[in-house]
Amino acid sequence: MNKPELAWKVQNSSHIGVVHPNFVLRDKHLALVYELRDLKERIDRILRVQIMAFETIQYLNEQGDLAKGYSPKVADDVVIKAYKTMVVTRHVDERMLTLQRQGIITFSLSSLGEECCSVAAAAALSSDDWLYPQYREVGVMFWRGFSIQDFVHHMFGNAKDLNKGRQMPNHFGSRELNVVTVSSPIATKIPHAAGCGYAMKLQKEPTISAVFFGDGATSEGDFHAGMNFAAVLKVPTLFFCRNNAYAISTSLDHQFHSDGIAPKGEGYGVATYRVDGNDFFAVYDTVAEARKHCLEKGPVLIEAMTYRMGAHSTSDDPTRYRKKGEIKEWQEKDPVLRLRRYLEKQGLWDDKKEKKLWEGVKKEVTEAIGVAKKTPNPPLKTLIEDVYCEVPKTLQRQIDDLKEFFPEDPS
Amino acid sequence: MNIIQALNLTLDQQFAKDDRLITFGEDCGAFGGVFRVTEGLQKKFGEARCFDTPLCEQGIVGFAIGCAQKGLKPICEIQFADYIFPAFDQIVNELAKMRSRTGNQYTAPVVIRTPYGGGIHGGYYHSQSPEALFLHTPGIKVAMISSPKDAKGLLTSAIKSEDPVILFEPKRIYRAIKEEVPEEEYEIPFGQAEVSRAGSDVTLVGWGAQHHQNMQAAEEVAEEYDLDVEVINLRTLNPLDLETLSESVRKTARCVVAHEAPKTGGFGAELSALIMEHCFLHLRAPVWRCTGLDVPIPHTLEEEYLPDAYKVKQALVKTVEY
Amino acid sequence: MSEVVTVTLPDIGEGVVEGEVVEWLKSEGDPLTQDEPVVVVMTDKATVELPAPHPGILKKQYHKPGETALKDHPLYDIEVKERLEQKKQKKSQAPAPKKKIAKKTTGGILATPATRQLAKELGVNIEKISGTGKEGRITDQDVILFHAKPSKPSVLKTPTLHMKDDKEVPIVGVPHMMAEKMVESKTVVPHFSFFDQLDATRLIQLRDNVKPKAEKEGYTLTYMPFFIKALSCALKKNPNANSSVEPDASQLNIHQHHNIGVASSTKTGLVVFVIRDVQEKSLAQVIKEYNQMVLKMKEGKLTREDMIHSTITISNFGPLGGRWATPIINYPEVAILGVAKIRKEPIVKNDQVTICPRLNISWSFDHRVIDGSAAAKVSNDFIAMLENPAQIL
Repeated sequence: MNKPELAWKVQNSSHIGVVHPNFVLRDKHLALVYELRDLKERIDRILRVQIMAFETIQYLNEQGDLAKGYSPKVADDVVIKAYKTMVVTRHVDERMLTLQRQGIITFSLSSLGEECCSVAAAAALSSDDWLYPQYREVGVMFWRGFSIQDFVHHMFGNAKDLNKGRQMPNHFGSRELNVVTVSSPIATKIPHAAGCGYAMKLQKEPTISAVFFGDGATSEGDFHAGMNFAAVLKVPTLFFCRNNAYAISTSLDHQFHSDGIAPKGEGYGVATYRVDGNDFFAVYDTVAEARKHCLEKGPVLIEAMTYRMGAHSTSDDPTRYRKKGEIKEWQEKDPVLRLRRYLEKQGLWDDKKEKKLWEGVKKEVTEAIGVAKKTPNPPLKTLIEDVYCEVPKTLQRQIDDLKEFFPEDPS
Repeated sequence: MNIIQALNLTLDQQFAKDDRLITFGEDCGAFGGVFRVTEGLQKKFGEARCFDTPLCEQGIVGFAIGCAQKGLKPICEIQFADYIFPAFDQIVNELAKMRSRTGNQYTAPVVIRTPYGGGIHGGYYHSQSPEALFLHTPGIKVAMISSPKDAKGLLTSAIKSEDPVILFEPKRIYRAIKEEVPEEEYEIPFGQAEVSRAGSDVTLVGWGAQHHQNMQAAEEVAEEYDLDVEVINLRTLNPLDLETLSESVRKTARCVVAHEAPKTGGFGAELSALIMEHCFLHLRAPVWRCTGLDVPIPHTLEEEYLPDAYKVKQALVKTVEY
Repeated sequence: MSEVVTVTLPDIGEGVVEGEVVEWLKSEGDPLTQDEPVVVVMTDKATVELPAPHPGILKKQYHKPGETALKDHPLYDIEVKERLEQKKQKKSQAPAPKKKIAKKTTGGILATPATRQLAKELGVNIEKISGTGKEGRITDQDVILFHAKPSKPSVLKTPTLHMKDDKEVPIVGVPHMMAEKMVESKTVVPHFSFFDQLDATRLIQLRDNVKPKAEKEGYTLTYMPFFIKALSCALKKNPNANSSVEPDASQLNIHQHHNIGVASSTKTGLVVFVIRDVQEKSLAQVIKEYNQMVLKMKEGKLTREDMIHSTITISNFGPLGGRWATPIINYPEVAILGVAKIRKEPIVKNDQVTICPRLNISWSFDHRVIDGSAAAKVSNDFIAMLENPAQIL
């Protein structure tokens, strides 16, 4: 018997190398895709046909023009706030890099080129949703109101750092803002987010958990564990993958052999979308839609196509593994530039506002650095606190021994 | 009742009191767990609170961490301690460090229950005693059950703990020991060892199933050699009741530590160092460790491997004759 | 007020300790703004641009392109206009308090921690105690007995005589110790004496034969080495005479080693040096060793090891005259042999009076161990050796 014609199967070239697929879904096509998804399950059962619709959703192009027929579902002031937050993120990252190269802080890591992924996602989620960043999403912190001063304190690892100087810089987090603190191991937060989502479901809260990670993280066992648990237990968790083309120096064709990350979501039976990560509106709309899906049905995987413009971190030198001219190509697709072009075309932004924004941010960062420099290290007793809920006698003894060597410490 | 029944009863009672409690693991839901510890819980409290997970230990622990962060109290089961290793990263890098790495903003008070130890012809992969690996990781508490009474008391303490706990259950005596277990709630505080037999000639330290071998050895040497052995059951290895242990060794001047885990880097080595530090001037013999060999625990020659009462006896006599 | 600040190569990250200067983006004399990139440095991990930490003028470049700069070492100088704010105080480790560490040399002494602690509490120097436990371990009992020891004899009821014009000479050091030892020996050991005489003819002959050879090798040949070797031969047949008794007389420790002590008079008093394991040495070896010891003794260079653990002693009072003596046993030994000078004496042989060189020997024995017949036996065996001295070679 002949195999049925795979009439609905639409496939496009993968995000290997830096070629963006040409086919762009418009609004009406997206509605069709959503409808098809609902049909898909029924058809799957009858015909055993896989509908693979991993076109990259895009509404705003590099020139700052919206797709024909698309109108934003988000208010202008939200878009402007998002733009400002992206600028803050970008500038703070740049200044932290400088501090590291001056030997003033020990390490830094930036989200250059990916500011839109974190800011747009945070904008589309509720402030009660729990976020689990990997480390390249500091935009979510600034969106939710984390001050530049507090962030710089954290980068200095001083007495005012919320982590009490225990982790490296750029391991941000805040209980108050519902952002779970970053930890260095890759992908470990993915199952945490699934557990958190499950708890929210059990507690009947109208919130979701959202975990962010890169393309490399999807190779880790924890990605598999988190996705599988989430799918089986139908947890309200959003899995947001920034496919930024590199995991330190490892390019995608050394990371997996699938068509990017999206097919993996399908593999677990998780609703999956692929979006242009540098397009504010695509990310915003898709995350908003995904949030609804999470609350009503179950987990969602979003693969955001983007590019890591900077190095992996201050310990990395991308000139050693990137092709010449690669970055230049992506500079044209820059998310901040794109959104600025849009705002200017809409008459919502101009050079004067731009100058004022940048000057304000620069000044604030400079002041914050000055204050952080004067702030002392965390006191010695923080060495033994928080390992357990109470400090055990053994640790008290160990620190008493240590005090012999650091007598001038006030604690 | 036996240990299984004690654990099951404890879960049943605690689940009724606190609806933040959930439990899960491989085959833990409808099936009630391969050792039946979670039997009946799903039926009574619902699938949302007692369920099967996919076959993925790192997922079990990772998922539990997220649940705990958000305010549930998960008691997850790792089917055999031999299979805890895929979860090692989650345990060491996330579970143990959650409170300190977030500056006390987030905590993950998870209870991990897992059957451990040899004696059931389980061979390499159903007999391991990996407690030492976790004792070397600051931030997690480690408790070793040795009887039905202990099971209820320690599990209750673990559930009420605000720190993550790994509870090791000695599978070889899951059903072998039966005793009266109080109906009402009680806790065995962590960091409190039990002097199960008072003595004056030598201190014998152990935990879990080994404790029973130790008691037997102590009775036998009392008969055969007129030796008066003080037997200590540590019950929790972290926190450790160092006071009880040092007080005992200062009195007897001799100590034997017995554990199933291999000798090198086992917890006996740590105890040996601590006793040396705290009881040095009182010692009349070196601390002797009567343990498994530095080999994976075998299937056929398991008896030769395990530090049974006979071997413990020899160790006691040797120490006294030193 | 301008100030020159030296910028060092910072910690670029993760254990990098040096970097090669690739390119200076600014030259000496150029103005620098805050955070402006100044120099490109290449490390194992990355090639990085280093930004200026302060605004000012680039005064001095410490390295040319291609040279390696070291972490925390000067890279370039900036002349800054304003006074810089104080850098955060670096943690300074407190210098370790200087304590005088009393070095204890109690290695090599076998005792458990508990026993050592006991010794410490009783104020006993554990180094002085000889262990009776397993493998020579010092036991608690050894410590306690040692502590209880200076058992002064309770017989001292008679006061010492002091007279008006006495010359008071203090007895200290070795003579004092020897005095105490002798009192102890006489108090503890029931001494009994045994005397005999031997024909030294063949001994003299043997010595005369051996003398030239010995002198050629630089040794002075006296009769002592012969006595030492002969005694050892006699002990082989009479092992009980080479032993020690437990204080409560519950056990006799018969020593396999014939460590023969030689008592000699020196400036500092009576000294006993020991020739060890004579049972396995030839006469030639004994001669050699004896000479070495005598030399050491004359130079005052005898060590503790030379003088301890004798199992039987010989005392030669010959040179000074006298015929018979009752030497005091060198406790905890059980026998001591005193030898006099060889004299020509008239003796009866085959019912005839002849002249013969005779050697008087005076034994003292511990009667708990050696009775009359045992004494006679050991003495006879000793005499037999010397009267046919070829056996002792």
